[in-house]
Amino acid sequence: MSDELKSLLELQHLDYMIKDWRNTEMRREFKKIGFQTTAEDPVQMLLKKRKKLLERINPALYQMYQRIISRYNDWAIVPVVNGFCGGCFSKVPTELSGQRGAVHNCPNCGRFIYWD
Amino acid sequence: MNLYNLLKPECINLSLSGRKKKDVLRELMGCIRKDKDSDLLVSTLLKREDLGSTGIGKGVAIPHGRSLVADKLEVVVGRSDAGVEFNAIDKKPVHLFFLIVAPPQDPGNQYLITLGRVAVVCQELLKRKRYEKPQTPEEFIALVKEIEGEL
Ligand SMILES: [Zn+2]
Repeated sequence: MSDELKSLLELQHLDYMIKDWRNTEMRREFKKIGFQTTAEDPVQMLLKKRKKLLERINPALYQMYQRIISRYNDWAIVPVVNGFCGGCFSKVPTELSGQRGAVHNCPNCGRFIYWD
Repeated sequence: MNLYNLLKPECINLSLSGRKKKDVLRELMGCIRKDKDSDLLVSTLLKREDLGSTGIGKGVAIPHGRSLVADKLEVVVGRSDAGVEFNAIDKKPVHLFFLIVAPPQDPGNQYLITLGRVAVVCQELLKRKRYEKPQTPEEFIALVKEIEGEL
């Protein structure tokens, strides 16, 4: 997997976390369980980490990431499982898998794809 | 829901060897995935820890995160006799871990329900240090089942 794709995946993981910490029901349950936060504002802290991570990501790729997220509202980077896109489940052309290191998008849904 | 239904013997490690946060998270993740994706998730789990340790005191920690690495919710149990420095809220070393990894989208909010359930079961496991008794993963699952029967 290329470093660019790795950074994008890291971003995606961070975004899941931000989403959870923005969810008041989740926050309430976290508190009930006994999780204490040292960060005064966890969401702000995560957003700071996000900003730092963006320094490592090509702006064009980031734009594409944002576009895909806003379009599907789920995930932008998905694994190819048994030759199928993990996002839209359509068959990914085998010739793409020949260049596994590079950044690819699913020809059908446009999500970033990587091979497990 | 019952927690014991989610436990698998291969996802229970009763003799963790790591003594540091990162090593133990890696060890726990290794039960689910052994490849590079697991490194990515470890780094995500560490970012979560930065917000405040998931060590909730009395020797228990519940690290958790979401990832496409998991196509369904996974629970990993780890026990460390020596204890792990985990910056727990009471500063005590952690002996019992429940790692929860959930897919990003889970209908019915199984992630949250499982987290809550784990917290309740942990309180019971702590009583008279019941968690120390099981010698095998199967015995551990049986103990959790027994506890859930009492709840
Ligand atoms: Zn697709």
